[in-house]
Amino acid sequence: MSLTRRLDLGLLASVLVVMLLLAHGSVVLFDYVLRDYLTERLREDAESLATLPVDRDNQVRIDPLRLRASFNQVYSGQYFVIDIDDTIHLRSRSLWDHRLKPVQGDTAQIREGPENQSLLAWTGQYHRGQHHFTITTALDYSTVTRRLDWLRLCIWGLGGVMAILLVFIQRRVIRLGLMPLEKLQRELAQLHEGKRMALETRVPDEIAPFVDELNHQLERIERVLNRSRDGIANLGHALKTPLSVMETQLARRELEQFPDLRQSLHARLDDIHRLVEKELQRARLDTGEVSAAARFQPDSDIQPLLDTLREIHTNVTFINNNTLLTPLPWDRDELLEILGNLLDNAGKWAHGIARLTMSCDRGRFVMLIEDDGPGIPPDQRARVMGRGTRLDEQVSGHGLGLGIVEQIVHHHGGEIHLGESDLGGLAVTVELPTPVSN
Amino acid sequence: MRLLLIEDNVPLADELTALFTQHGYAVDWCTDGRDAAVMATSEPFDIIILDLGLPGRPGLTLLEQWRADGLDTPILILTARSSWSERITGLRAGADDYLPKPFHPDELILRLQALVRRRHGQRPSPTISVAGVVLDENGQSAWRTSDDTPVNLTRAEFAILRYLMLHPDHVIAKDRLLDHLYDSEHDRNPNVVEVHINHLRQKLGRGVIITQRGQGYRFGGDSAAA
Repeated sequence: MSLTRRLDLGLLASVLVVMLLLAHGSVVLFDYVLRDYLTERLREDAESLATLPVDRDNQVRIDPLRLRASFNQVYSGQYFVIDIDDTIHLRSRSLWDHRLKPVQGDTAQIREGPENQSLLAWTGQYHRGQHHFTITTALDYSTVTRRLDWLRLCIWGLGGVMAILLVFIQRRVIRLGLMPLEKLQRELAQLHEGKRMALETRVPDEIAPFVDELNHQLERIERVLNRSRDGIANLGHALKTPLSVMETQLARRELEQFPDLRQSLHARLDDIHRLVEKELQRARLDTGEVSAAARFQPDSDIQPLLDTLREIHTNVTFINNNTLLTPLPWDRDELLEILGNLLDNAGKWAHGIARLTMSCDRGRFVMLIEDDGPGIPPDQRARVMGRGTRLDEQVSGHGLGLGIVEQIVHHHGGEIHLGESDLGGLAVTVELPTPVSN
Repeated sequence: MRLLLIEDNVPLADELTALFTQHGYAVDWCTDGRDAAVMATSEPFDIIILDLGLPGRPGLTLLEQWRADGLDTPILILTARSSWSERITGLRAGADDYLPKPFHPDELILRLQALVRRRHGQRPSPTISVAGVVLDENGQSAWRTSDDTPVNLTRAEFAILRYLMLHPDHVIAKDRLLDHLYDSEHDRNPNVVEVHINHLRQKLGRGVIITQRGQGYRFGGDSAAA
């Protein structure tokens, strides 16, 4: 679950709870205040009723004309009941046949009224002369309840709208706040692809320590990697000189009497050499970065290579069938290593012609290196691949080339096939998938 | 054949010096790039073997400097840097050949012979054949095509004959011959050269080396066939 979503849901829930409480609370408060206010009115009504003229024979008469009109209108919503000394019982005409009992206590209370009205009723005790008056006044409260219900709905609605609005605002704020994180994410992706060595986005103070630490660690890793890479390279290069010394010592005349020993030592030296070259190549491949300047440019990089090969193999004609002109997305040194080794092999075996063909086809870059030499029988091709063994000790070279070529090709996710050329000799096909550019 | 070996690793240089001497080269050895810069231009070397990772001055800089100054001695780069891009860089800087370490001594010797041969306009082959005389560089032996029996030569005889055969039709002054046969520390005795030349004449016929009085020696070929 994303942070934004979590915050959205949290905010929505809390806003809704607050709105509900607010709506309910304000309705209760309104209700309370209104009852208080209406109670006052009921008391005033009762007091004015208590001052109604009483006859001389202690008969209380109520002159309908002296009452408020609403008391005379049936079920108008304003009612009273007057008990005098528990003997005389008077009711407002508006009550009609509904009975309204006095209410206990000092505050107004809700009673059931006629025609589904709910009445707010209040009872007061008065003394006038010898008479004891119990006056209950009531008014229709259901209209108020209805209003309050509507108010509650309104507040809820408003609250809902506000909640949604708040969520949107918060989203916006979060997005703005997280903008550096998105940039960071993009940079991390670039980092992953090896296009970048450090994170450079300016980030908020809260996550700055993380980014700083990450950069620090990256720098440390880079340093350690460089050191070990340089270490391997230095060790590899340094080992080659003692290896050369031993090779030369092995060629001494004194050792001619021990051909087996010489052969075996020679083979071990070759093993060491092979391992050294392999690790050196691995260290080179691990460097990984291809800057635009170091890219392979078919039009300018192949010619010097072919010139070199023509000097090495003076009896072989090297044909360049390349039509590609744009820079290719691989390291110059690595492609030169592939082409150099394969063409050198072709030159060693060819009777007279070696041919290089390069093409780009459906996202794959294909290099075809052919010669008119003896070729390799199909059942031996698998053996040649994979170990970099040499088939013929007579031809100079240490049999390393193919192993290194395989290492580079596999590093780039490519494939290498041996086949038969229409020139008559071996055809080596190297296919490299074009890296997805972004 | 004067050979300048520029290599900072002492054990390798020792081995190589022994190897080259065995194959009839007079070896001068430098470990430092600055010494090499001076030496290569002051002595008449026939071939230079250059290591790229040198103290003093980097090998590639030396190479470019020499070629810019017009030094045309064949140069073979002998280096631990084995990638093709480095090889191309080295050859473009003016080297004639490039051999990565570790190498087989036989291959190094073959490459040297081929380089020297190419410089003197001859096809690279295991033997030099001029005017009825064949010299086998690997076996250090020679024979006349007219009787085909190989004669073993001493190292000095081989070196003298090879130098003369690589420059047929040239009169080689004794000093020049000495310059190319002995390294700078070797005691040069002109009389020794005469002794060797006499031995060669005994082995291959009187006419094989012609003395041009006051000028020097010239390769004469098979006098019996002529």
